[in-house]
Amino acid sequence: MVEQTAAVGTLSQQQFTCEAASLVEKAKALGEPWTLVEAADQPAYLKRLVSVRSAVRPATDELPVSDGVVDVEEEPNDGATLHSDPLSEITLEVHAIYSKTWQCPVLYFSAWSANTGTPVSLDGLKNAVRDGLPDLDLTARTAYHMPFIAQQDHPVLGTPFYSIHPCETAMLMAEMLSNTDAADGRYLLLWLSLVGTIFHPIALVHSSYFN
Amino acid sequence: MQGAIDETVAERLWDGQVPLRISVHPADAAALGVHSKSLSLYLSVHRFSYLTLIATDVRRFFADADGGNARLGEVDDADIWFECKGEPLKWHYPVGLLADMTTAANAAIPIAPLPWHVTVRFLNFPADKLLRGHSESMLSMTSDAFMSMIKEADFMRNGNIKKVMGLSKQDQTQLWESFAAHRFRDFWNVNAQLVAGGSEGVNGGGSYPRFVPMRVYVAGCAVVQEPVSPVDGESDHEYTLGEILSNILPRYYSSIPGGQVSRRSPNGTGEVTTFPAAVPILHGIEVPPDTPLVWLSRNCSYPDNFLHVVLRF
Repeated sequence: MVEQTAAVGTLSQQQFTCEAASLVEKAKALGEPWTLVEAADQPAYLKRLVSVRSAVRPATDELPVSDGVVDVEEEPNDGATLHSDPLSEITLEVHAIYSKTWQCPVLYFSAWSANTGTPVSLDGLKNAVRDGLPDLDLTARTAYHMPFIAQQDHPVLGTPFYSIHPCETAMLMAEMLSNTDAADGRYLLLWLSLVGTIFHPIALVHSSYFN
Repeated sequence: MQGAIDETVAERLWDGQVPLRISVHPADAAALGVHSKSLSLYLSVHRFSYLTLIATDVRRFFADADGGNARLGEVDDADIWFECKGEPLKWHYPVGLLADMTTAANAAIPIAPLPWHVTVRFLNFPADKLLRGHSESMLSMTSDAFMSMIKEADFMRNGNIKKVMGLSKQDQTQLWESFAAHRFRDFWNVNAQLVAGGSEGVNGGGSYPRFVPMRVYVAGCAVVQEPVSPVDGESDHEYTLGEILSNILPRYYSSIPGGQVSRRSPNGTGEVTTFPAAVPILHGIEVPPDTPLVWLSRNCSYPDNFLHVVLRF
């Protein structure tokens, strides 16, 4: 009754779970906070929290780089300055959730103020990053004339998250997989590096994950 | 299998309505200086409609009734929301589905008292619980949500979105506009092209959809959307709703009449207890479990092309 057919550019749930687990292992070794969220009666999904301030350099001041590591500059101990700096406050939460309908992972994300927990709009998030995350565009449409990014109910939590519409994922992944050497077992990584470009300069995964 | 639409059924469901009693939340009434606090608006709303389609009229009614309350008159449509018993109501769910969910949540009363009492809110939009619209865009957001469902349904049935994308631009527009204007003929002239017959290219235009667009709602759980095939490929047996539900939700549903199901009790002890099987509700009606899913999908889907089935306990 419940069956799956494999088409080019799609991923099975089993493969998703398997690749997600190995991605979390790799992230742990790299000291990056990808986790697997497992709830009763629900398939597991991947989650990562990004502190927007430490992930991107603020537009106003260049941070010193030492030993190839970007130092996060300590804010002066001044409540007013802290409050006026939007970068000090935003947490970006990214989930990769498997969709049985589209047979591929779907990206969900939300942003909120780390201090108050209140949701931050897409514009608020864009304003916090230099050059404004131009790909986060609420007016963009997919080839099937669907909003490329729209708020949706999170399939597990039931609360509003932004999501990238999955109608083009299989097509794009088919092309990407055919152009990639040693793509076996790396669907999820390749997909995350593809879909993650919408957050540039914030990176969801980087080249070390492929080693 | 009969491929034609049963128009009598489709038209009866199309015209189905829910009587609503709408009142302003006391906290918002106080904050906005609404004097006629005890006033209610009685409105019969099509089960297939959306709350965003009535929001402007509701706001105008209370603004006018309150002697032209200017502060109410200035409320942005994107800030209007509705709740029932303290629970925000999702504007992108059809009204009939919301009513069925509310009824199902009150186990003690099998049929909720009518009119259905809903509170309208003008302040403190719960952005952590409801999808947030922006100014002047609630109608286009509702039509986007509606068309997204139709395209997803097309994808589930056929494995691609070619049927919707193959419609002329005018037909695509007509789907939403005839729906919003409640014009049955105009809507079905286009919709029949989507729901009749099966998937193209499979078995030379086979007559069964690949999967049936269906969502199942269980109070306190995530929405269930499984890719369910409506027919046994070997025996040609058309699965019934009862068979599908007991397959995808065995902890809540049993196809044996008067059957019981076992699951861990919700009190956190982890103890496994038996419960009476749930009853599937669609359009306010208990669906006979032996109804073939493919018939149900073709004739009883919401205009967004999905079956939205609520389990009542």
